[in-house]
Amino acid sequence: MIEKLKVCMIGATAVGKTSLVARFVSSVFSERYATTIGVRIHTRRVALGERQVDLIIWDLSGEDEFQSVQPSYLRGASGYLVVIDGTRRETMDAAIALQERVRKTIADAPFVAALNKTDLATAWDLADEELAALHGRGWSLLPTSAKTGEGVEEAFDRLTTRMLARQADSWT
Amino acid sequence: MDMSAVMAVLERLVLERLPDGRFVRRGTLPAWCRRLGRPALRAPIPVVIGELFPCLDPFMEAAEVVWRGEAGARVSSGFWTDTDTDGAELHLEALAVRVDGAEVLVVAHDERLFREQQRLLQRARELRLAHDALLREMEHKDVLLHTIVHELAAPLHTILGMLSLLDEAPRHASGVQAIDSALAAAREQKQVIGEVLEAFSAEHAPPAVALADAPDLRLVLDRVVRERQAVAAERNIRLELAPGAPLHHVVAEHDRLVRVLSNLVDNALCRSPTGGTVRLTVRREGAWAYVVIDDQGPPVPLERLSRLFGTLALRRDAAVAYGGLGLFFCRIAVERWGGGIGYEPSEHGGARFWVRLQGKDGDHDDRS
Repeated sequence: MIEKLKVCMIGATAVGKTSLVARFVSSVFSERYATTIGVRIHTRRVALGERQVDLIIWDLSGEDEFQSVQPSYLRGASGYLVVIDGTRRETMDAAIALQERVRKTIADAPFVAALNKTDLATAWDLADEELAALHGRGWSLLPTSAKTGEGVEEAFDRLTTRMLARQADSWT
Repeated sequence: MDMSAVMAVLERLVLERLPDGRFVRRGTLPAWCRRLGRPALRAPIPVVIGELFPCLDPFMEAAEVVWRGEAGARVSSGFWTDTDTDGAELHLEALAVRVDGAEVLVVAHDERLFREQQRLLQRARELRLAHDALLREMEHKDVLLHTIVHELAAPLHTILGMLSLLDEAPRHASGVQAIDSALAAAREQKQVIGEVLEAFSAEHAPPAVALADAPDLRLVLDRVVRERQAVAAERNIRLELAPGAPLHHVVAEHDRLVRVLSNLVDNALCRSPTGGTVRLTVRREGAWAYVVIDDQGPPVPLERLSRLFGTLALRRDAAVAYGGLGLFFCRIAVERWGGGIGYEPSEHGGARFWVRLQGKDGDHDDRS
């Protein structure tokens, strides 16, 4: 039987959550920004070694002053991807605040932070010291670009590996 | 009148919660349910809500509160997006209500309401993004201005220092050296001012490259290398242009191209160790000409690469190599011509910068 793992996408508005999911699930990218309302579920089967897993990806609407992430959507998640827009420093602060809230709902669930939009190198707005501070908090950071595909597979692979490792730990 | 038919016409699916927690459909099936292709919806048999609509699973806790009568008369799930059998999106919203003791879930399909909500949110968010981008741009401009003032101040300090020296000892032999130093600093300051003015005009004006004046890249490189030979010799560095550079007219402004390439060569000369080599090569790829500048200095640290040519480099890395205005201005100029500029670690262990320039159509030889 193929295992199913629920993964939530969280982050500020317009950081590229939906684009990362579209790249990962359908290998497509659109320049057009279409805001997500509520939630949409996508599924992709991944193989890690000989093990196959169905990732049930919950693409949640972004967090901002107009809409907030409903904690109930996170319930039952095996892990989550925190997305930061590397060209907007304020989305890192939003990610930190969101992660704190998520931790209260699904305390020990592993997560990976995607530093998205690496294709916009000249507009990059995150400094090394800030990223080092996130490392210091135990965050696993990965540069990604939904546009070029850079780091996208790796981000989901890393998260899946961690989710499975956590499962294995809980069995022992 | 059959009220369940009315609900179906209004695109509402009515589900009643059974004591075992499963749901059963009541009334007529709305048309959109058929599009979902979920057999459990067609027959009025008990189903688990998570199997029917997985997005509603997390909503059940809030719904329970209403059904138990502990909160208001109803609660909404908010919109979620489902997909029909053709892959088309269906935007749905559920409402939990208690009717005559029955625990009811009404699932509504309302594209018009969804589109309206999305339009408003999209507009609000786009305005927010534009506002934030404007603030960021203003911050970058402030940083740029700050850096410019610093770059202008450095040679001014030299000039003032030398003039003070002359004032104190006008007939001293070192006076000639002081005048030379002051003149060099004044020229440097003049160049910085020129670059600043050019960069700002380049940012705000449309490209003004006359193809008829497209410079010959080989001649430009010959000039850059010739003019930098004295500095290279002074530092005991070999500066060479690889033979066989093709004749290639490129889309660029001649004088600015000279300055862009001079800037990159100056950086390479600064970073190369004594006795090292700075090598310029040119290659052509289709309609593009690439100028590659290799030095034997330390490579640029990986973590700095992503913002090497941006204004962030000015803000955070002003104290380190490649932290000044030069690369930022180079990028603005080259991109204005439709080209590109970049960095990659050299295969020989040093630093490698490249400039990509559009060839003037049909004007090249094939010796590369």
